[in-house]
Amino acid sequence: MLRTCLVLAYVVMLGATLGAQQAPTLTPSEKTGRGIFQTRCAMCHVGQEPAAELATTAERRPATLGPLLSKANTINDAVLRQKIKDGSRLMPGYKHTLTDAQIDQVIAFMKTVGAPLTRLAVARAGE
Amino acid sequence: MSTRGTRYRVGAITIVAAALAVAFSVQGAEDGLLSGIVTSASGAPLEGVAVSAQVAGEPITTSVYTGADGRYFFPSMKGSRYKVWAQAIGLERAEATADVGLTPLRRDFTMKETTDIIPQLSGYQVVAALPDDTVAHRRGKVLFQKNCTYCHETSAALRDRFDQVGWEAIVTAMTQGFTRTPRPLSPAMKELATFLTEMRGPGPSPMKPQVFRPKGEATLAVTYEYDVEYAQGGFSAHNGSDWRFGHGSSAGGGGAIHDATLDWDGNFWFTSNRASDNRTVGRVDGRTGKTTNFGVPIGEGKVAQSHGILLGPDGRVYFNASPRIAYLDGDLGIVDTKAQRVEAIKVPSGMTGVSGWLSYDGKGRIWTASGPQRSQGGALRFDPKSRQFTMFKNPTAKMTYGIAGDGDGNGWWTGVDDDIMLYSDTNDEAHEITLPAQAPAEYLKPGDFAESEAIPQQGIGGKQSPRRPIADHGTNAVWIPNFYGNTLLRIDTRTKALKYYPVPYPAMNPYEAAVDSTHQVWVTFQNSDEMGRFDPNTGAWTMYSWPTKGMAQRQNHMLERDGVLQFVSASGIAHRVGRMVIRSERDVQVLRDRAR
Repeated sequence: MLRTCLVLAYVVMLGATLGAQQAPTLTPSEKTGRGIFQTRCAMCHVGQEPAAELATTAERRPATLGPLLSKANTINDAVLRQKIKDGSRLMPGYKHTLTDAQIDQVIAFMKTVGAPLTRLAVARAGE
Repeated sequence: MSTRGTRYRVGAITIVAAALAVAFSVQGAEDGLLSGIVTSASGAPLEGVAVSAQVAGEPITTSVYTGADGRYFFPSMKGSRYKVWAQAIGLERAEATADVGLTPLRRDFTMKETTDIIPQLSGYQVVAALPDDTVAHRRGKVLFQKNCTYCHETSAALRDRFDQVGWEAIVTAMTQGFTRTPRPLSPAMKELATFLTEMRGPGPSPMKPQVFRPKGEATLAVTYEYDVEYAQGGFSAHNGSDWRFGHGSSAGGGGAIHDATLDWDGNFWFTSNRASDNRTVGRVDGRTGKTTNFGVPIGEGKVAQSHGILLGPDGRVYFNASPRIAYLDGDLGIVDTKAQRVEAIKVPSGMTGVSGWLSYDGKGRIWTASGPQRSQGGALRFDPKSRQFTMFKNPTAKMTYGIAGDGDGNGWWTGVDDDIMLYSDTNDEAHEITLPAQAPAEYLKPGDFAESEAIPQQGIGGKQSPRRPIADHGTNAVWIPNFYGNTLLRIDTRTKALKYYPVPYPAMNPYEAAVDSTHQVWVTFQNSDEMGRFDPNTGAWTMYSWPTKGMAQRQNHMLERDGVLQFVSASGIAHRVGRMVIRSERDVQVLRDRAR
């Protein structure tokens, strides 16, 4: 027996849900830092729900492995810089990958983040 | 088993209109011309360099490749200001700006060699660079290949350098589900971390990377890639188009694209394998790049997930709409692409649901994988005219994975975990062909692993793991990419004879095949940013490249209409969809003449 389904279509509101967690405009250095953050930090430091597909094959993944990050984590640049370089038991240290300048760009981006990042997205493609 | 379903009335299609925050302007005619030459620092022309162009803030990136003479030619472009950049493995990125108008415009690039090309390589290219001169290296290489290619390309893993402690943290997170209370690593995983530290650690590396770039015919391709908006809004902060950052990443964005296809009007339809309240499938407008969500409600404000998607021979788009696991036990979703209407049909009682792989046969019927994951699987056939489902149950094979319909109207599907191919006959009975084991895993020599050694890895010992097949409706061939075996298998549908062909490199992880009207076989590779064209007559492979890092391409949807051959990409990591148009020499010559 077939059952009727109601199918809804939604028109997306581009960029409507963004902006609350990020500065409206970033300097080129901060944008570079955001790119590094997206590729090296976001997988463990930005809040997300467990992927359903993963949940079937692996232990349920926590929302984030590390703490959610914002400018509140940048009170002491030197301590943060050393943390990024050395890592911890759960986090690899990036001292053999990122230059000091790149680490400073990451920190510069973090300083633009007002509240702990629960989502990382840019309002316009290719920003 | 066959049951007629009754057509149900599709509920109201509610379109919630909203003002778009981004207006996609069309400035000027669509006949601007951009071309140029790319040379080395010494002035030599460079072949296979990807040159990309994007209007700032717009979600569409167009890319072409330089030919043997170093020249590149974009197809006609709308007039606007473009960011233009050139990239190739072994070279530093070069950038320019181009104000494309009615007058042919030229932008030349001079490119310098880069010092560390490993972050630019795709997955199998990274594996090829790893040494296999000692027992330790061969063991490490196979541990890496077999354990680190299931979820992402191996190039993602080796982009960065870490010390032993760092690599152990990464291997722990990857193998233990990112837990905050990990167990100690097993001896094999500790060995893997030590190997990775030697390869990409603080010290000198024995890796010997090669330069891979498209050549010859493959440089004629043009790609149109679209950044897909997340279901909750916004885009990835790095889509893999700037190779300095390495692979694209959608981490933290909430996106999940699995497969995509292209409708007859040039719009993309993609699946979303993540729990959501608004997106089962999405549409990307081919002209503007605008993303629109479509949800199949499952109650409590949630919508179904999806996995596989197919452009049917009737021009409609078919997909699975699954309530719990994206690829299992779903309804059959159907999209009227013109009207942008989505309906979902329940499978009749007594049949197993629609799984996340679909195809069609020579009689216009839709085939889908079906059945559970860990016990006997099956397949479904759906007749779009009568709305009748027919179910096939596997004699022994567990989970059904990829599926194809042949020209005679029979189905062919894979028992992915059992190395079994299944097919139906004219009596609608299912049969099995057990695939014989092939040569053991690449790079290994006898004795590298003791027979008694428990190795936590998959695919050792000649296991093939057949993935997504295609039937050539013009011949008697069914082509099956074998993920672990790194082979392409041909089965004769009449004689059931098997013939294996190796893929160009080990560790490519071939995934889905497509066949064009000239019987060339096109294969995607999950551990790669490339797609291969296999010529069954000569055995030769030609590699075509996507300019996005981290493609990890599984699906392979081909559209051949009006003499134009196109392939569709979908990258969950980069959160992009795209199409590659296979241009001819003549197509490019027309542009070359205009540029003069």
